Amino acid sequence: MKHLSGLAFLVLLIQYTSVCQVVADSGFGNSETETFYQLPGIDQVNAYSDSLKAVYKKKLLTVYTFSVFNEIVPEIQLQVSVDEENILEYTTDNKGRFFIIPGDEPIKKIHFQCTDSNYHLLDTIVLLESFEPEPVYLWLQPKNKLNLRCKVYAGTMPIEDVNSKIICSGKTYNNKTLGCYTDNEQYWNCLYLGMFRQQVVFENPGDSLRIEFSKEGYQNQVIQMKCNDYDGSIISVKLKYSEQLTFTPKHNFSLKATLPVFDSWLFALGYSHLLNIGDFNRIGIGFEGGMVVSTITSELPTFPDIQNSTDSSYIVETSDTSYTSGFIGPKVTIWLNNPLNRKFGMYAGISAPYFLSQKEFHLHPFIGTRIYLDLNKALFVEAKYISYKLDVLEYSFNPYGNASSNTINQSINKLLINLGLLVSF
Amino acid sequence: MFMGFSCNQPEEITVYDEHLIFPHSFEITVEDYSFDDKSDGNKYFVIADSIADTLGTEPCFRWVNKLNGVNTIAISNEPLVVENYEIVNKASIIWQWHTGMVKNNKDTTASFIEFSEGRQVFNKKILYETQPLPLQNGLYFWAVWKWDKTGKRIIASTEQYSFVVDK
Repeated sequence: MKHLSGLAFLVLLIQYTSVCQVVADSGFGNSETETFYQLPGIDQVNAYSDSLKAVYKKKLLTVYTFSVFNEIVPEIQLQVSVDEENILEYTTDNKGRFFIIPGDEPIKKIHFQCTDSNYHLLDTIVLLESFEPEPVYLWLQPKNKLNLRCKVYAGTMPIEDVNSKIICSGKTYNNKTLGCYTDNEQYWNCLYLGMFRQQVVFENPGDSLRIEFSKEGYQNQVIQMKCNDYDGSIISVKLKYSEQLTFTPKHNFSLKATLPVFDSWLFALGYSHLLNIGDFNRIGIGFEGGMVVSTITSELPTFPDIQNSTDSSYIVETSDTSYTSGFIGPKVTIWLNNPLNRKFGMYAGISAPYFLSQKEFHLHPFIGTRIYLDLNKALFVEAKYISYKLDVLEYSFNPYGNASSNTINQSINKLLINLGLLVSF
Repeated sequence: MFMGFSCNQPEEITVYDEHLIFPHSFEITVEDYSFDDKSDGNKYFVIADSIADTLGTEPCFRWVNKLNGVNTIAISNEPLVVENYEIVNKASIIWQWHTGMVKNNKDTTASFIEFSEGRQVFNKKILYETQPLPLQNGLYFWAVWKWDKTGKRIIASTEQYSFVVDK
């Protein structure tokens, strides 16, 4: 046993030395690769055989594996049966070669089989006429390959961690799109965000290629083509969002403002918590705070006849006064349809804002609809009936000086259409 | 953010000229001028200074500013006193004209008002229906002031000038 392990060590040492020589001769980079894949010359073949002979002290059979494109096929597994005895598995070294140590009897017949998925099936028998065998050269025919590249978007944003399942020639490749990463130069690199690359091996150019994309929150998407239809470019795929949210939007933060066509303007921040009462998830409670800006137009009558004058330069202009009222208070929202709908989720509710200037509560009913832009951000349009009181300054014309003013407590009742942005999680 | 407040309140004018009848306003300039008094046919001269001019019983008034906006001229029988942006002794005004009395065919750039275009004031009320009576002999004061386009505050005024009527 000690003797055998010593021999194995020597074999490894020789192989290692051989590799180091190749690297030393060729330097780094492509030249190394070129040297690596070059077919060995007769001198190299003989040198390999002689080195083995020196170690094992007997004649060995060396086998080389090449592709039909004159490339060495390294590290490929072969099943070898010598004289129809047990099938042994051999793996070529990084120079595409291995050796067989014969027994006491000369080898007459060797059966080679290669079922590597990257090559067409090799099943050949080599007959040896004498025991001074020449090296055996096995020629493997590579299968067709394509380097498939895809980039997956949601809208215009590339998305990472999209599962892709590529099915071609009976094989399945699973992959995921890449995210950003810190590269070797310590830069945050998003060059390959949303992309993946997969080498696909196929038998015939007309074989079908099916790519399935899936990610939580998005609709599955499938691309099908023939292998020879792929032109090598990056396939861009846009995923659509799912029809329904994949999570229950328990926490909802909103920001809304009135459309600028009204004479009153509401700006509010809100929070709503969607309650889960058993399977019933259509009630949300929360609060809302903000301000209402109301513009009140007043016309101040001055001297008699001035308003009736035909000369527009005498007409006193109306004046707009803006009043801002802050409020904060609770609100209850009831969903009229499934709140998980991404599109046109309808809701109604009522808020009870406390107006800080008047120190009063008021009730503001509202109804609205919401549409999600992506996974958790939505736009909503809401009609809200607001009512509150305001201390309005009223002026009286004074022919002997500045107008005098007094305050009138005025009720404001308006229907406002608000547009808002919602973030859910 | 949540406190109630209102915007667009009348802002105080930062200018100050103690010679103007409304010191916190811009100046309406009065230049020297002359006019023919229709009541007696005499020609009178108004010198825009602090010395009282002698005028007829139906004086005319002229100032530089255009007539756009709401303007008023008042004749009083004692110096008008302004406190807190308002005339205190309103009852001393005996004659007044304002923009609402402009005839439709009048050139609005003229800023020249005849006595007959204004109306007599009695007990702080303008008597629109009657022609003004000619002034009696005595010392009178006159001034022009003007409101902003909303009519809320006075933005310009003249100095207070005096004249004597002596038939």
